[in-house]
Amino acid sequence: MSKVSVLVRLYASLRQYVPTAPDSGLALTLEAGTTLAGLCSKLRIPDEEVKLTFVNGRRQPPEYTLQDGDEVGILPPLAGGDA
Amino acid sequence: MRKVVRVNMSTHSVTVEPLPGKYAEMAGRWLTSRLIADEVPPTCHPLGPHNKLVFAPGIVTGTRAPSSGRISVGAKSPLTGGIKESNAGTPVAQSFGRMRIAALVVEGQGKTGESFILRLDASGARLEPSGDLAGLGLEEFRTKVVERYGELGFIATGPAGEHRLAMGGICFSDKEFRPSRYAGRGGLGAVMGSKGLKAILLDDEGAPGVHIADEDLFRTGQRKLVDALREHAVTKPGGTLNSFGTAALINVLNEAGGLPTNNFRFGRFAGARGIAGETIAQTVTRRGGRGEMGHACHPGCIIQCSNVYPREDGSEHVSCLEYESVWALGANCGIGDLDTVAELVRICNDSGLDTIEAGVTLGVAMEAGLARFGDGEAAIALLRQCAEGTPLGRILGNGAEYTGKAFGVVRVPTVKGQSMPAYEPRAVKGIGITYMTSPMGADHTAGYTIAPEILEVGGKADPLVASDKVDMSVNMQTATAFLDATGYCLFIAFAILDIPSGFEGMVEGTGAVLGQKWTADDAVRIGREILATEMAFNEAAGFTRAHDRPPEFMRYEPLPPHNQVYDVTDADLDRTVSILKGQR
Repeated sequence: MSKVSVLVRLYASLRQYVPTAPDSGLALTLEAGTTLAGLCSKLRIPDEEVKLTFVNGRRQPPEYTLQDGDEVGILPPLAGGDA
Repeated sequence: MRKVVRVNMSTHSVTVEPLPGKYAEMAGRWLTSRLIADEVPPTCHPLGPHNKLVFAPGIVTGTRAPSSGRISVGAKSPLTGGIKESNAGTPVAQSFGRMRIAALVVEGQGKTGESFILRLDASGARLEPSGDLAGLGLEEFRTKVVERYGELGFIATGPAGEHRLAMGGICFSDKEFRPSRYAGRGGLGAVMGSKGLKAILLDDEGAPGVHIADEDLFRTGQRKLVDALREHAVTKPGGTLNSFGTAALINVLNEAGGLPTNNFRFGRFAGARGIAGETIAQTVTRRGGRGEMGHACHPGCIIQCSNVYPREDGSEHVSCLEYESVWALGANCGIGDLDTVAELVRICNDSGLDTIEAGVTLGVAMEAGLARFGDGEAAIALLRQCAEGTPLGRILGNGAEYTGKAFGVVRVPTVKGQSMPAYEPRAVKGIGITYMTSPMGADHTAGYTIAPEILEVGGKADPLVASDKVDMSVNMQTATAFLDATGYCLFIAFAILDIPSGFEGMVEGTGAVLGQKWTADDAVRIGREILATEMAFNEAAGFTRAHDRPPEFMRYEPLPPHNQVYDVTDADLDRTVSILKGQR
């Protein structure tokens, strides 16, 4: 089975799931066909804590299939902007 | 009965009158914009005797309603030349509400060089010469005020406003009497300075409190709103706003490719992580001392998104490091060192400068070659000159557009003369519609489409799609105008956009204060009325369709990483404006 390499960055409260991840991101090699949802479950991040997933700067749904070289950002519910 | 306090700076007289019946329901932005439209000639000089500066707390401000300590400030803006409302979260807002001051109107103009402070308390209002408080930076001002008068809430303009610089904001004290809460945008501090009014000191002892006409309905509405705020993942205690502050957005916008970097040349900043909310929170924890996350800007806020940032030794450096401030003075200037950003924010707070306008202006100055992108020391040296009033400081202090003209810079990210905030319109198309069409000039808070476009709050939309976003911006601008009248913090929107009962409770509870049974239809009606009033003022002030356009470089210069230009059509921008004017 072929593999894909991806770079994963976790933000805010999700950093606790891989506390040792470097700031530049976690380099992972995954089975081809792994989805974003599959990646989150591999990292043991509970579904309900994930709100936004970016792949190469675009939001993608949990069923998105990861491609070789993808850069992934995973975020909990967030907001801000000074009012 | 709510009242209007009028301070005439020409005659040094103060009058107190009942709020006229035609304004009976109005408060906050609704009242500031209506009063400006009724009393200020649209073509007047913003720094002349015919402009007026109006302070008005929201409808529920001063009650026990959660997160509702907002006060609106209105005038004709010296930055945009149009009507302006800018608001702040501060205990001072609650004092206004409890003292039943619906509006404080500062009018006329003192003689050049005169400087006064206004004392407001149960016995009335009076002007006193500022004496040695005139010209002071706001940190020293605060120290002297506390020594002399005790811990009184205050409103003040800093040296920037006293120099009548269009970057000057109006500063309000926080609950520890720091000079840190700002109605920053649009140069309202310069209007205050032009009047010869340095500060307002408030003592609300013996204040009667806000009259709530329908206590039962108010209580019911509040309960629904509080439940929504405590339930929503963003606003609940321990939620992201509370734990990481608003600067948690740095990483989000960076991921989305919409974090303006090096004067809007790039959509991503290599140093983003170093200035993000997560790093601020870690630094606060590691350094300890006076540092604090989850700080409330006024008593009764249950979101508590503010912070106090400590120095290495644990002493207090500044409050607060907000997303837009950190972006403007960090990523937009290529500065990735948090302590440098904190120092730049401190200079803004002390000088009385709008952090957004300051950061965008520094970006333009860097573009002009006055400093290298990323050179924090040079940025600090430039920014200090605004308070010093050097010729260069006076150019910078008049904002990004003025600085761009002075140095022949084309890449100047402004609309109606006001700097764009921390969301790149080429990467987030809907927020651009708000920037181009809001009567306020480029202002994210006027219609925060970032919620659906980036955060998936209150819906979901692709940020890179340019079409079909007119209604999104119009609806957000309308709801925001209403919210700015209520006195609630805009951040309650994150919860009530997703939880309908929270929205219902907010509207019901607000109407209850006035004895009205308001529904969502009333919120829309009032929001539209406010926007139409503001648009009419701007039109009379000389604004045309040409003022509702993006800076031209955004039309032809693609922004990495998505390599997109701003492609919302002129027709869509014009249609938005027509709707906002009420010509649907």
